[in-house]
Amino acid sequence: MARLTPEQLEQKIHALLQDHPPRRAPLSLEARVLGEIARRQALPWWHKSFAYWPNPVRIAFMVLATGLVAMAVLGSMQLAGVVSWQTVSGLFRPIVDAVATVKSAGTAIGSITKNMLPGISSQWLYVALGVIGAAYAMMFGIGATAYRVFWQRR
Amino acid sequence: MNNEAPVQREPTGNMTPVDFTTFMRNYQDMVYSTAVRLLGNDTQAEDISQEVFLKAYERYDDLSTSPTAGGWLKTVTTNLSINHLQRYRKRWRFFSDLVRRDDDGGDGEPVEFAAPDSDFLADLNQGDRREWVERALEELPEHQRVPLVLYHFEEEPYDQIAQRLGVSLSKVKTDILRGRAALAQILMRSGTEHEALTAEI
Repeated sequence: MARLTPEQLEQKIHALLQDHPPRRAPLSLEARVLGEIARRQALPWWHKSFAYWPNPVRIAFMVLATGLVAMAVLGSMQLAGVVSWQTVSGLFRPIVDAVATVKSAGTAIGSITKNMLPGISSQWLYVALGVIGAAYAMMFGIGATAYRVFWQRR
Repeated sequence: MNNEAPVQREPTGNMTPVDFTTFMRNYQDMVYSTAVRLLGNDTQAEDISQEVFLKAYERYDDLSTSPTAGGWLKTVTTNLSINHLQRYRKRWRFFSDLVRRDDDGGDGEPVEFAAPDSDFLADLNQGDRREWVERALEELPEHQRVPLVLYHFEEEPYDQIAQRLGVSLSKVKTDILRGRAALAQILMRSGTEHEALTAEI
């Protein structure tokens, strides 16, 4: 019986494997893939990678992260004596001003409320608190119902 | 396991968008076959196939109308299968020991292999052949099966296989040569066993 040379063996094996039909995928594969897709779609955005976060959240995250990095860098530079505290505080002046504006607005609203409260009877206050509570409960109920009806059954 | 004949409807030319389930049905046999030949394990091949289709789903907007979707799926399947072998099989010393023993069976040295008889396929009928080839591929050691599958099924050239696996060209040639011989021996042995079994019956 003749022995094959490496070249003859290559030809025989190549012909054999080229004629070999593809394997049929298991029936469970399709269900597994579709199930995993559904599971991933049901995940809230904060459980997914950054690419799937909503645009406003991504922008806010980028701004916050950039601010924190800038603060860390400038703080380190100031501690190392590379830049002066005046330079660093000058860079943050707009933020400090914005915080001061919000603070003064809050103080003004607080003082107005403080002056008005004695003139309002306690009965009206209880009614207002009740309305706020009922509105909150109604919003919560609508949200939960909408979630169960439109989302959870998908 | 689904034993029905595989249905492969690989689209050609420009594709019209189809839903993802149809897309998956068109390609799942090809993806699974590629994975199972490289991995030699049904369960791992199913896991890799699932991963491939999840990646495909992420970029389905592009793939649904792409005429090269089949090629993309095959490339991703091959890469994920090889990554899987590299990452999770510590006992597979293909990428560590063999790199150090890079000169094994180099170009200048004659490579010994057990030359099979010229009619080693004679005992195999078409029905048996499919099952036995699959079983024989699974029996091959991974360092022979992977380059053999890439060369004969995927028709990749030697240098590309060597680059993909991170080993020398001579190592790839030697492993493929020995893999062919081992495959032929396993098939011959299967034929002999089958004949003996048939005679007993």
